[in-house]
Amino acid sequence: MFILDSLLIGSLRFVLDKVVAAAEAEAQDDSALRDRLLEAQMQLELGEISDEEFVVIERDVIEGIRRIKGGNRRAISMAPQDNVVGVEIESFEPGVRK
Amino acid sequence: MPRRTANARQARSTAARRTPADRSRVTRRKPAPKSKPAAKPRVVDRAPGRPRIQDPIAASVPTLSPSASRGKYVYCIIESSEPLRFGPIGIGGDPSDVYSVHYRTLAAVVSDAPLEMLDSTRENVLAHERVNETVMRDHTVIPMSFGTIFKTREDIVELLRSAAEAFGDVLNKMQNKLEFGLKVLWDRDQAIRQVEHEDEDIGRLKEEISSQNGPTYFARMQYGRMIDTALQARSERYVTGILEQLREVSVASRINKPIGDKMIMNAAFLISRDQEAAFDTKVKSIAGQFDKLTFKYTGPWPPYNFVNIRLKLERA
Repeated sequence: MFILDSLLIGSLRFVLDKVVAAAEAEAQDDSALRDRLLEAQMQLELGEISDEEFVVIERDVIEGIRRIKGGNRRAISMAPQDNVVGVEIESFEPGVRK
Repeated sequence: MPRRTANARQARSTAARRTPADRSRVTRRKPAPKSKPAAKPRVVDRAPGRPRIQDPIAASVPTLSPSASRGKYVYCIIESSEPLRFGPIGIGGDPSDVYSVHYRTLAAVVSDAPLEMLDSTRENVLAHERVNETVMRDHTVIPMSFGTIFKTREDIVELLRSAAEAFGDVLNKMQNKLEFGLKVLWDRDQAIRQVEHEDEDIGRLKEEISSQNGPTYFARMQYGRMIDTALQARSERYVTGILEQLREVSVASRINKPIGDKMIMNAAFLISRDQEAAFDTKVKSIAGQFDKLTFKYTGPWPPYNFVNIRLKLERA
């Protein structure tokens, strides 16, 4: 499903201080679960699984993501104490990006 | 448009656009934009000395009773100095009003939402997308990724303010550009049969294995490796050929990781609005050339794959 994968990878990202990011990435890696969800979307689209089967997979995956991310995702604040040191916006470069 | 199902609310609002899943090999699963007129001329007043200063707080529109635990869910950034309202189409169980929060000529399209994390369920993701689709009809959008919630309106104004110039530049760059998705899938078993048939070495090895009486472990290993290599080369050839043909009708493309083992290409293309018809024709012509492949063609989308916003945080 295109929008799902685009939404999950696209746009606003948070680049934390490198050390912190590396440590957190290990503890919070939900990419396997996200891949599983994308795959299930694809299988649903291809008619390989039913809506009901999809719903079961989705529930399990979301539960897993919650377990990993639950306590860590917060609303964003731009207050001085939150130390947002910059906003970078990167846009397309003509040509192919991999 | 990807297949939409789920609850009654969604079913109602999307039923008209639902296409039977994959009847045809190449379908664009989302209607073309409602015959958009050429975008209205946009006036960006950035003349030095004449800044259109507005009180960022007062400039934002509606007076909604803010509850303490409500944050602002951001869908996208657009250019507009006029307060905008898009109706009760926001994300969440009880769809809230979607409106704009401004800083000078920039606006974030938002709705009030609980501060807690939103699950990336199909229903929520589609709600996010539906808002962007609505906004896109009349505006160039910089889409936010799913699940971006700010604590307060002031935080959003600060985001817009701190990167106003960059947002303005990217909005200019994205003007009259649309994103389309193209996924290409193959039947792996069929592809294997083909390489067995076409590659003499693999064919011979297969025969050896099936006619051998003794242990065939090493021959099987070798066979597996050769098949993998041949499939890889074959899929690369397909992808290169397809990309090559689409290059002249697209501004940029991005190749994402394929999903599952049937997909050989998962790409996004940035297209100029005036090239949309040409791109469409090209995709269909390509689908006609490769009758063994399945093409999944979607769009138009906001340029999710071509804009990336990073907030740099520094931990104390």
